[in-house]
Amino acid sequence: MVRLPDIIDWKQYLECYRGLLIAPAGHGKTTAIADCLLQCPDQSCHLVLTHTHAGIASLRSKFHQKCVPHDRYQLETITGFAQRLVLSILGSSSLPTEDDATYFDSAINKCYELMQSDVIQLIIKNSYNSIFVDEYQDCTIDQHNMIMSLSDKLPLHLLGDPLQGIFSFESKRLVDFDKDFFFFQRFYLLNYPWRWDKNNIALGKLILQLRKSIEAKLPVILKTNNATNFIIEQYDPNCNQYGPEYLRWLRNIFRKYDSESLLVIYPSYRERNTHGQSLLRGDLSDRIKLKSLIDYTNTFNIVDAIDSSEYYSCAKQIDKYLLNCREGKKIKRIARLYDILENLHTNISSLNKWICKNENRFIPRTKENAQASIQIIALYDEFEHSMNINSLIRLIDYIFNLKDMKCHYKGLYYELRHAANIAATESISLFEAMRMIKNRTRHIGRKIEGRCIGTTLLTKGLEFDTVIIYNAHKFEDSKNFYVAISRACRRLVIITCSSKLEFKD
Amino acid sequence: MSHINNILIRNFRGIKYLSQNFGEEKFIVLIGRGDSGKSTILSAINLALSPSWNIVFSDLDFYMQDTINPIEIEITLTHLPSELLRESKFGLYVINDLSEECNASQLSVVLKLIVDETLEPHWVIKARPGSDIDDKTISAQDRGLLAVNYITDYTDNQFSYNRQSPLYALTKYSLPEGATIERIKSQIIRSMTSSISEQQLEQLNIPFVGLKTTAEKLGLKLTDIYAQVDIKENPYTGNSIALHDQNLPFRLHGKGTKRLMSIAIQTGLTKQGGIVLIDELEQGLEPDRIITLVRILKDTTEGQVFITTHSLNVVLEAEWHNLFVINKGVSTLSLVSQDLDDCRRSNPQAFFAKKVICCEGKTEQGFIRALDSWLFQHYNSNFSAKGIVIVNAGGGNKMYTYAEKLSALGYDACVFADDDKYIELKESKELAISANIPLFLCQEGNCLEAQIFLDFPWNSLTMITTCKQENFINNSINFSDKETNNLGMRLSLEDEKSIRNQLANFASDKRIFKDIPGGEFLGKVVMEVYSDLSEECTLKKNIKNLLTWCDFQI
Repeated sequence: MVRLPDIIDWKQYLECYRGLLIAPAGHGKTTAIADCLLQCPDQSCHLVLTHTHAGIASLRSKFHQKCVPHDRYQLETITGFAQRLVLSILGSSSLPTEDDATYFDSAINKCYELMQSDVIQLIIKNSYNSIFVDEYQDCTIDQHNMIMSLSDKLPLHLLGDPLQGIFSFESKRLVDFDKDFFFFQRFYLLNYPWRWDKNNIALGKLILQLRKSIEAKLPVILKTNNATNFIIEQYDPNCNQYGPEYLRWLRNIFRKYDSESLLVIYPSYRERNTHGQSLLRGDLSDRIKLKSLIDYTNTFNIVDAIDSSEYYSCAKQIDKYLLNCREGKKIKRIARLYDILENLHTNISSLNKWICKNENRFIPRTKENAQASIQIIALYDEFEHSMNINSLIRLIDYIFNLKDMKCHYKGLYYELRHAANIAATESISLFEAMRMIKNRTRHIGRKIEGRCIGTTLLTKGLEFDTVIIYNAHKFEDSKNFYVAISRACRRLVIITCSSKLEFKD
Repeated sequence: MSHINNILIRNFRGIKYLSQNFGEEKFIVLIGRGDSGKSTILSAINLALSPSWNIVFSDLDFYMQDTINPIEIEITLTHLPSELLRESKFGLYVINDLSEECNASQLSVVLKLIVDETLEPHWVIKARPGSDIDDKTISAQDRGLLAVNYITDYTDNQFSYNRQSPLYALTKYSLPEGATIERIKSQIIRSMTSSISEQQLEQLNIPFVGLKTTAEKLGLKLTDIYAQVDIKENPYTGNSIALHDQNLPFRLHGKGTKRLMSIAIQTGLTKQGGIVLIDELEQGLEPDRIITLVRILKDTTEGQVFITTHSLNVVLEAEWHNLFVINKGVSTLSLVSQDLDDCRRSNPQAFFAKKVICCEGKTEQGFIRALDSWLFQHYNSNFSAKGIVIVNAGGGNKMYTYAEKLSALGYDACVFADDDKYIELKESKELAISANIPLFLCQEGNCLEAQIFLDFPWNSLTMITTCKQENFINNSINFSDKETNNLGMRLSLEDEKSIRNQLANFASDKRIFKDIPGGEFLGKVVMEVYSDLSEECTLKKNIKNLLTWCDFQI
């Protein structure tokens, strides 16, 4: 077994005024940043930027583990940094409201404008000795411009991997490693596959081989290699995907490769439906649907975006419901309650047993359910009487915990309940409370672990013992595929229709 | 390191509201009459920037002792230490205009001290106007980086080595690497303990033999008891190591010596860019030392010095841009203009006056002096008791401009002058009138002596023409017989007038009274006949009105 060196000397990279370090997934980019910081002089402070909150969390835990002094760095997301700067200097009136889709783009652009000021440049120069930006391949061109102006008077150390430059369909053009780094000296980090060092060196090598064929724009040939825990599960594209046979086969895969640290990746792609409309697949509802198919024990978590619009729309919906009730508007209150529960992703079949939406009433149950039925009506009466968020949440809570109720998106519900608590104590709307919670999460970061169902975009930078890729043949581009496979440390399972993957790029 | 650009004080002691910009000025001399709030300004600065965290406030610190309105002291600072300008500290709190060119020393934040009715002080750096962030507390330690020191005579601690003392700060920078004042202190204590010999304490052990037996009877077994110094707490705290000269601690030296020493220490510190506050600079110092000190301070290149003073020498030696005049109850300080330099250099006392009489020249000045003596003789009061100062403007239109400028500085100023060049000075006079300055002028076309000759009681005119040498030493006061022969005679008013005019012309042509003694002589004789003067005449009206303006009830 080849021993990896304990520490790499980063002198050259650190001394370089404009440096770009290219590192494939799992090759210790996070470790490299920690080591760089350790090799920077005492009394120096460096701004470390990355994209996601997951990235923040993993960098922070690495810094902690490596004992990087706290005053050596300031760690933030690029948008978080831009937002903080803009709000501090210009105030919120300079930005659209937070639920506006252009919010973060505006923050980046405003921050770029701020950087044109001598005053701001002086503060930045005075605060930091250099800037590190991780996952640079994910930068949009606007972010790239902002970072370049931010580091106008400071050394800039970029880290990234062009092959992991994936982006959502809404986002703007990303930086181009071939065009946008003319003045940068390039460094490569290929010899230290940390992710597989202690887990599965052979798998690491195999993934690096796949990377090479992707880089060479060759089709990827998938073949099970049991020795390296590289498993291909192929099915016939013409089989009935709603039929019991397929479902049994699918569930069996998830049972067989179950792990405490398991990531299921659903590809994001566009597909035309029978009416010819172009639909985005792999979104939240697709993932929730997949979960309902495979997750009988209800142990999987749905990974969602921190700012997923569902959080805000649900909060707004409840705010509006409360307002309408209080103002005595003539609405079908029980039917609208049903809508709220539906939007919280409770299973409709169970819900229909308790509420008759069309008739705007609760259904009186009998036998062992009689008591619960009475309780629901009692709680509803209490709500009718008080019309406040607390009584509403108590009612929803009760319905949620009914024996046959299932919720495949608990994250949303838990956050709403948390927000309701804050809303009640601070006397603010649920929407405002939700914004507070999300802002906090953005700053603190969050941990994604255990059994998860996510997308490449949401789990980039993370690692799991086992990764199961669902429908690998649906990946539109090689980069998403590479990001997906490189999340696995010990075992990689690929569910696909085809053993030869060809990508559109 | 820091520089005060602007201060704003609300509801603090005698000040309801005061806001003042100091710009880039590095040496600031606050002048004004007692109780106008000079020291309050220094205290306000000191409290806002002080590195102590346990300052005690009382109701007496509030304006009119009214705690409903909080004390607010806002100080706009530039030349900030770079530690404080980090983004993680107060970098995002700068108030600079983003569109302007800027260098690091111009970056500016507003520090605010608030004390509300709880008497609990809060120090914050204010957020940028319009910003979404809240004001942020600034710790005592961070305030310490601003390096403010207040020199008063009450703190002898400044000559010792406690953490707040300027001597500590000065020494800290000069120590070799690795050495700290704390380390030196602990070395001292160790060597002190080890130097106590047991012999010195032996005599104290004599009764222990008996004590030991008694204790053993009680069942307490003792092996080895003896007396030793018990260092309960560090006897060499910073306060007990102090600066000495010739075996005498500095706190026991004379006032002036102490003051100069503490200023010397501060000067060492200002080289690192601190702010020094000195209340009543002149205390305990001889005039020559004051002058030297001001010369040094006005050349301050690093840091900033604020002083208050009542010393003419300071006003004389400082430059016009150093001076800031405070008047009780006003909302801003007054700036001394360069045009007043002559006035200031010749009449520095005017800057400590309540009221100023701007005299046209020496004759007028002498005349007013005589008036002053007369007041003292007859009413046992005088101008200085009323805070009135006489300024000799030295001719031209300067009495008008001085009066206007002094009035703008907050002084009550009036003009006492002749009006012989009334066409030439028309404009200046009108400006003074529009500035509401009381004018006590002769009739148009007359100089003071002419006015006197015109208004003097006819029968007493010989008092002037035949004055004795001991009254007025001027050998040229020889009126020709032609004018004087007819004095005292009964003449028609017209003839009287013609003789009066001849005398006036003669006196004015020969410039007999164009000096201070001349003026004094005239004043003396006029006041002798004051009650005989016609109520209608300009001379009487002027004197009467002037005395009323001066607040004398004659």
